[in-house]
Amino acid sequence: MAATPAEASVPSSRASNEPPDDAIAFEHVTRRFGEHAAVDDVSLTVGRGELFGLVGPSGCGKTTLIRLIAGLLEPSEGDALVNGTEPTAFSARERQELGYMPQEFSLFPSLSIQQNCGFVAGLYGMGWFHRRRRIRDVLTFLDLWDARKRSAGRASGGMRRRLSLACALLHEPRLMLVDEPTAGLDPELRVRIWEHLHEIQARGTTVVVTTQLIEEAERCDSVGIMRAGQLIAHGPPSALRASAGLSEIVEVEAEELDRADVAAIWSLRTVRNARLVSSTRLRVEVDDAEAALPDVAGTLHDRGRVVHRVDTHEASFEDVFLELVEASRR
Amino acid sequence: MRAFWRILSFFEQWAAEVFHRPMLLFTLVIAPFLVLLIFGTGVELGGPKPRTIIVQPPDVDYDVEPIVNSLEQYVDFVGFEESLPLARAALERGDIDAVVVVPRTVQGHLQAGNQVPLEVLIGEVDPVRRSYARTFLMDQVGELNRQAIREAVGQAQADAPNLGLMVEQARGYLDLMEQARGDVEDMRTQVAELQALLGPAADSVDLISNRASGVALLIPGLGGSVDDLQRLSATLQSLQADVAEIQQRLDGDGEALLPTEAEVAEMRASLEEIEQLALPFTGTSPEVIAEPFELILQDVTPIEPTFTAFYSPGVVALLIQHLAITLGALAIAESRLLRVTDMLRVSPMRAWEALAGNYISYGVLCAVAAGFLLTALTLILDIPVAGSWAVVAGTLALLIACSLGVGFVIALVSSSTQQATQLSMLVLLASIFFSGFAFDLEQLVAPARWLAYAFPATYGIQLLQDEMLRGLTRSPEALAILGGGAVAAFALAWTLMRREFQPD
Repeated sequence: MAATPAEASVPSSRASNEPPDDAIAFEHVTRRFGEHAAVDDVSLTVGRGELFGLVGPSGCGKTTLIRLIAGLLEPSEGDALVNGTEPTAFSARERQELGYMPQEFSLFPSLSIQQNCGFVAGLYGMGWFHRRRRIRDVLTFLDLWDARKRSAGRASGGMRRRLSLACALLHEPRLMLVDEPTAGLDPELRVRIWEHLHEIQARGTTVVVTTQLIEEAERCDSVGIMRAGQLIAHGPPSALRASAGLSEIVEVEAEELDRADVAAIWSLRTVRNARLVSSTRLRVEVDDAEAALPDVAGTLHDRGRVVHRVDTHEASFEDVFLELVEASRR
Repeated sequence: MRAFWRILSFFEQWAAEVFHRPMLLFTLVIAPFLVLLIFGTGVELGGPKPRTIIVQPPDVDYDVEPIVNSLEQYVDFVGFEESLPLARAALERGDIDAVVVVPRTVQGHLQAGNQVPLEVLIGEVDPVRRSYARTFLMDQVGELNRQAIREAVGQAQADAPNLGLMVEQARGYLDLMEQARGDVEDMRTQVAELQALLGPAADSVDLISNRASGVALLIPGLGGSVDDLQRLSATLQSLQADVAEIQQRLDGDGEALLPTEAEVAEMRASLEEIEQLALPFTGTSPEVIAEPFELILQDVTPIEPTFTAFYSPGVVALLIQHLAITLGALAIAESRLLRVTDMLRVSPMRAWEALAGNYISYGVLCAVAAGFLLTALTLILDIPVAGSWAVVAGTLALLIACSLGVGFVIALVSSSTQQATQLSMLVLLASIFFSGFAFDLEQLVAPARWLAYAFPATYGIQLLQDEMLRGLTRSPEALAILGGGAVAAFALAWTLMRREFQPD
């Protein structure tokens, strides 16, 4: 569990004692569109109260999986349970427990931010008085209260994403499905969105979030990595990092490098893996960068290479992702 | 209670939408009224008068002006032309709409016992206007004939007192002839006086008889009167011949043969007949003879059905149907376009709640538009509601409900907003032709009539026209059909909406 929930700041009337069962339990779920399997034999469990991230490149099946969880799509094969019920058989009461933020903006551009919230609150059967208070709280929480009278069509991309999030949050769902909330946003806004997601989780809400930005996965309690419709890895970020066998990286920049240099580095006892990034850059994976650095630098020096720069850092989740994707191909 | 708020959310959303987009209100409410207003004030009954040239031969032997004067209330005379080919060429080019060819002579035709030809050439391609031209031109030729009869009868009546006087004088001559029996010279004088008396009267009556018989062929009801006129002429000529024969006997070279008592008695009988036949022309108005039937038209409708009043209920019904169908279709189509449908499907909203929410929202909007149209109709165009306002309101409510249902169905079977819009426009186009607005339903035959009964506006127009103009509901079953249609459209839309809410 890498993520650390921030302090809850959204008022909630619901008790935080949730049943211990899984919020999501998918067993060998496949969804085909014609011959193409957009989601292919996915088995997945998401614990209640967890912040679960689905990462993967565009078109890998993340949105299809979210729509299967929301009950918008029917599985072609396999068993899907969300809050203990098949999503396609959700009752109105069970839908009341679900919050959904779609990938695309799905509200009325001519209405104000506040009026859009009012419409969605109405969809969930919230009365006027309850609605007014709740909209104020949620919009304040998402820093939208001051812009509440602005029409959604004239709001910035970041405001629209937060408006969509607000609408998914209004009725205090137990499970929130958030599809690519940070797509197209600047880094500062992305950080704020993730802070909001952590705060929502801190209130006991299970959050399933998809993202193409691999490094964002580290902010989740648990991560599923998707490629070509398949869930190729699933678990906490630390466990995934371990399974990828990556801990620290030594990046070397030299005047000129070749395959023989890579082979020489590879043969070192302290090195787990080495690959040529370009004709001047070498990426070396090691267990302990501090211990391996003299060996790497010495070897290159012995081979007559002029080293300009050496950096060491912990393997990023992008490295983990690439490693796991590579492993799945093997 | 939650269902109530869910249904209401659509109304709130639409109320906010209308508030944010005042042009929408204009489009939905003001624009239909402007259409109605322009229709009510901008359409001329019967269309424009056909532009007409008169082809007049150079040597006409009568005054053409009365013919022109009588025709010009129906046509727009643009000039005279002597050459028929030139006028015909102008007609074929479309420079003019009709050519009236007047005959060179009228008297000649009448004296020959023939009708006077009045040739009219038309170049109109619009079948309605062709029919209009034929009807009015035939009516106008009839009017010319009636006018000729009136003149003929008037002339006969003017001469009738002279005939009476002539009969009295002739009887006097016959008395003198009886007294002059034996005096051949005196007899000759009396017979010559009698002959001089009969000659002009016989010629005059003969001429009138010929004129009247020419026009009487067109108007069967006048046959009897003209027959009497011809008998009068024949009797006069017969009497004239009898007198001439006596005169010839008296003036002969041999022994003068005086008229016998029987001959005089026969001449008296002829005079009696002349007197009897001349009587109707003195006691009857030329109008009665020319037009024996008088049209007594009694209008029992509660209001004066002007052109605007007749068509306005139809315009209202068509506008409301179109508004409701378009709004219904676009509501669902826009939800799909904005991907709001996914929000609805994930939420606890049920299919019937979504449908009910849309019915209420757009129903209220259409009701406001209908109320505005009706108010403007009565206050600005001064078209009263002769019957019950409740029936008018009920008709409009059912029309809106039925049309909204059709709109929802159109959107739910369409795969895009463009397709939904096109289908809505297609329904409007078909409604204009087949709903009884442009053509009477009686003029439609299968399958056009079956199609007509598929449109809510067909029943709406019928019910609104009856209630507003006649003040009664002639077809209560139309209300029932409209209500049934509303229920059927809701059921179909609900079925399709449930399918829409199912997982893909």
